[in-house]
Amino acid sequence: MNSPPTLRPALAAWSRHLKRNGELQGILLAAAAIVAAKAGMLVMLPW
Amino acid sequence: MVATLRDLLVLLLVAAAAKAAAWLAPCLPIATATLAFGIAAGCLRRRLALREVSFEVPLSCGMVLLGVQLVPAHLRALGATAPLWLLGYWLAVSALFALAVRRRLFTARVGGLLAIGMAGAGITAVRAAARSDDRIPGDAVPLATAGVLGAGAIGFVATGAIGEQLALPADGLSRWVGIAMPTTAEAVLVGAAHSPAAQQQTAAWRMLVNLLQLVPILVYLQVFVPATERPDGNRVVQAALASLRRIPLFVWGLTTVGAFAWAESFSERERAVLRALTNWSFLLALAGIGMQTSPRAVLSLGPSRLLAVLGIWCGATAALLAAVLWLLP
Repeated sequence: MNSPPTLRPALAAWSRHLKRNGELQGILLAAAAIVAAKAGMLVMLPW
Repeated sequence: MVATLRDLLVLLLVAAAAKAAAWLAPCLPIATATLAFGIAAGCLRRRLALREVSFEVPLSCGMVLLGVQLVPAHLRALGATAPLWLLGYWLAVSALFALAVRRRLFTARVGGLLAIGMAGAGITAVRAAARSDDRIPGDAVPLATAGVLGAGAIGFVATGAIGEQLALPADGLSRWVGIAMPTTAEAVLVGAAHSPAAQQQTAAWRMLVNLLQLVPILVYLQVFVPATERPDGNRVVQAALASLRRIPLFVWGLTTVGAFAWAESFSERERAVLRALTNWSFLLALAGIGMQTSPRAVLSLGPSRLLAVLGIWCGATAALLAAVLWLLP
């Protein structure tokens, strides 16, 4: 008989997916940049 | 984490080298220089058999930061007819690809996938659609990717110059570039080269395109993947949920940040600082896109098919420009 699906494997698969594609890291980096800008820690970057 | 930092450092070096080249030769557009330096660095990486460099971190970072620029006035400036403009362009591109399929330039499936990518939704949408279709031929995704990158490069060089020749206002240029360009990085940089207003409106158009990319993907799946073959069964709700899961994560981040910007949570100075960071994120992404573009692999796809893809895109883009010019006040 098959065991009922649990949340943990699904979360682990989702976590692997996020780590692999780097999207989450990019979003966290953007969030950090927004927090830093709000705290006045960013100076104008040269363009 | 170490790999991510290493990738970011490599991309930063390539972008900084391109920036230095553009500073030495001011006539060289910075994004074109970055793409070219990226392609050269990619050739070197393959020759030295080094690990591939991922550009998803700066790409998703830039996409999320775009949301900061979405103040209500900018989205309102797109007008209530904005979704109709997108729909019209999608239909025009799809009709041209249907014609190409009828002329046996592509199979219907490949034509459908190319239409998704070239109608503005870009590489992420092509990958999202192809992931759910087991019958897609092996060279369809590389062809669509090369088409999107080629259109992005042609568009970057041509649209800014054409816009300048025609003295397009910020509204007209951003409508044209934001809808037609299948790559956000180049579109935003073309807008930035025109004016801050054009950059903000182009970002607003790209947000709309990215949010609505779900529509062409769902249409593709409806046409080419029979209900019984869909991974999550044949019920409409399940298919819609599966499609929602396929939306890139950055779209949700962009929407969240956009909602804060909509509530006017950012001051003008904060927006200016984050705009510079957004531009750098897209430059790094562009360096990465260049590094993953192998000239040899693109040529092996067959120049005639790639030229057909780019020709169709140029035709649709010219038609869109005519519509923009016709409706200019």
